[in-house]
Amino acid sequence: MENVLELKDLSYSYTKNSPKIINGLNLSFDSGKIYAVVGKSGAGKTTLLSLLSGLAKPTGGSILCEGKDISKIDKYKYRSKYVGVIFQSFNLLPYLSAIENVMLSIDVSGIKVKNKREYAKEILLKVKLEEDELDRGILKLSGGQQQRVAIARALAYNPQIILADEPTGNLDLDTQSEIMNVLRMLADEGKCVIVVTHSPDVSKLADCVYELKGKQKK
Amino acid sequence: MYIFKNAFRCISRAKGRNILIGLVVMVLSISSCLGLSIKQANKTLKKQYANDMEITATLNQKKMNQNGIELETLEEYAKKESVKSSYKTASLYFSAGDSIEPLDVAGSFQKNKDFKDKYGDIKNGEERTESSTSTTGTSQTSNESGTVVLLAETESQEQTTSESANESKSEEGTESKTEGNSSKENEGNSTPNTDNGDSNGDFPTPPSDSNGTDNSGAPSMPGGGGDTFITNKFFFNMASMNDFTVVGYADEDALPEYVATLDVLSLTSDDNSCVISKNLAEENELEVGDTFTLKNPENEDETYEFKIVGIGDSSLSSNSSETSSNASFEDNYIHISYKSVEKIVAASTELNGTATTEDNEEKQIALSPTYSMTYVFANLSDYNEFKDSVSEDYSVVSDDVSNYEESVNQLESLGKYATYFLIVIFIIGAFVLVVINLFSIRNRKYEIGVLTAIGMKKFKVAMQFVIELFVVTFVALIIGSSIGAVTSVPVTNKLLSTINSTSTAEVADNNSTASTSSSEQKQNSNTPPEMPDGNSKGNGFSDKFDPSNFGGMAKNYVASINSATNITVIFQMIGIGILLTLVSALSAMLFIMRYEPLKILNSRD
Repeated sequence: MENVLELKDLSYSYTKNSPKIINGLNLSFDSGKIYAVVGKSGAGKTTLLSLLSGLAKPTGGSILCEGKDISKIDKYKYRSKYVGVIFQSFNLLPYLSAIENVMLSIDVSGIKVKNKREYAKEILLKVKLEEDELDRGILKLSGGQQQRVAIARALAYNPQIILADEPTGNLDLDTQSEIMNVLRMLADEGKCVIVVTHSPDVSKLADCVYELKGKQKK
Repeated sequence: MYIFKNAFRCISRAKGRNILIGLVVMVLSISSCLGLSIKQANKTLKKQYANDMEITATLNQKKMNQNGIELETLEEYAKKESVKSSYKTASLYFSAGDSIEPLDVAGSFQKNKDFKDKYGDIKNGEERTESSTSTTGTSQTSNESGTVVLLAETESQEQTTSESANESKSEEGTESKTEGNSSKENEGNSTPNTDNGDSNGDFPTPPSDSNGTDNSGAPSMPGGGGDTFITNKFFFNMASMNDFTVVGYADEDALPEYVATLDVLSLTSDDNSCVISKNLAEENELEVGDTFTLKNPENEDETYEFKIVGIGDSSLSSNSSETSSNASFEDNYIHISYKSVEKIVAASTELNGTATTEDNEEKQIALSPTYSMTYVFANLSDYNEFKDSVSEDYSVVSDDVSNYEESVNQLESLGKYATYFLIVIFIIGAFVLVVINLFSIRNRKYEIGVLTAIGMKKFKVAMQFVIELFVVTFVALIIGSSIGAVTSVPVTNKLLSTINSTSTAEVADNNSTASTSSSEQKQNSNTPPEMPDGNSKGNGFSDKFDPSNFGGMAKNYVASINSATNITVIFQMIGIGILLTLVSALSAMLFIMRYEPLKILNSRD
């Protein structure tokens, strides 16, 4: 187990004068584990995920990724190489097919792959997407299928950290379970999976659960 | 590379939006192409005119004297290097003899209200002539060069060589001085003097556009262009006196078109064979083969016989259709060979001596020709070189230059409007494109959010949008330019014809009753390039007698253009296209740079 992500006195507020949503947070994330970040609405779960994915800048403290302060890393490079983000609403490009969404992510990250399509296909099959669904337009896929594509896209450049914001929020129980199985598989492969959720079922599957609201909970 | 791929994918995906952008750009392209083509045509025409157009010009005296410009002087100038070629004419002025009466061409001018308003009627004109001549004190009886005399007596058909003729000429001439300048009623003896150079300053200047030439708006007598300044006013006087002008041609090129096309006049013979106009022939019931006589206005007993070898329709080459059915100055012109003129002059000189008037002034009784030389120049610079080299006493007049410049002015004003049009197009185009683009970007906000969220740099996202815009713009530009290129020529020509028809309407309005036949327009090598209508004024001789000059209106020298859209226009179009796209893309980029992926995605969630 290796520490891949570490929060040091992390603070965040929307404006200078507004109250801090996250105040002096110290957390540590290891590879090969699933972390569940839970808390009531407004506790700052999604904000934390935004900070971890580099979409928002902390107002205090720092985030260390593999020992490097992410504020020192180009935010686009960080997003396209270090972390893979899975959004609750998938945020896939609707005019692309499943495989094209994954291939676009490969392109954006700039990783060198011999056969891009084959590589994307491999990832999509790995997250249990059927072969006949690969070239289907995103809008023609079910919620669960879209979430698999989103996971595959996040995996396209093989990041060490997977951040998932309510990955099962829009899915039925069976699909939730399937998605969690995929995430488990990724953790087993050595990735650090951080899931923001308020679903007890998801948190049960996590190796470690952090509850926000000033308390840190095992 | 994936940016391009993504851009093309987005283009094919958002067909509606791109077709809209394409249509806007296409309309802008067509409009720009038209504007640029008009500007380019203007430039090209001016360039070709300066380099390629043959120009004819004549020499005028600034200060007139009785003798006009000597033939030697005219020939001396013809030897200059800048002169490509030249041809001369000699004119003699006769009164009516046996079997022939001149046509009255004054009436039509008197109908012209504008002229009457501006210059008074013919009677007033006569008074004016008198006043001008009395100031200068030149002899009024002299018809040495350009005098027009009306004598209706027709006694002899043969050239008379009696001594009594010599006696009578002196008396007649003296009398004509008095009567001719006092009143038009005494038209039989009136002798206005075209040789009276001072009249140039005193006669009203005909209305004319400023065109850089000294006397562009004023017609002058054929063959007299070299040494006389004849104003419109004078023409009234001259026309009212019903005289004949016998013009001798040394060169085929100098012949009026209607005479040249008959191809019956031998310029090598000196047998007084002549070509007359159809109107004159009909009026006098003359036919080919008939003969008639004309008299020396200063010596009624001195007559010369002419044989008609051809009758031509002088109205055929008229500019104005209105003039075709009426008599014109040119109908009283009799066209013969230069050699015949020389022979007549020699005979007259031999017959007559120099007479002395009561004032002890010398008076020329013998017929004396008025020489005119038309100089042909290969291009404008040669013309300018010649103009610069001409003595201060003379002025160079070229209707080729003045008329063309007037017409080019039309194109220039069209070009000026085209520039304004282009500016408006550019502003509107840029505004429309920016608006469409911004709306498009707002609609694609989510896409921008996703792309930046997965790590695509904003600059690259913006580049993708710019590429999309460029591709659509470029395709639309090609289609628009092609349509513009095809339509620019007819549209430009239509605009030109509209301007020309307006101009023509003004001419027609101004000269509605000035029914004069236009001069012959030589369709020879003097036709300038890019003048498909062939309406060029290639012949200095005939140009100067063009009635359309009376109103000083611009001629439709440039009635159409052959080619407008060329490589320069295409490059200009591409430049405008790139500029418009950049303006539009820049606004798009600024918008994209403002977006934060988190905000976009959160707002969607």
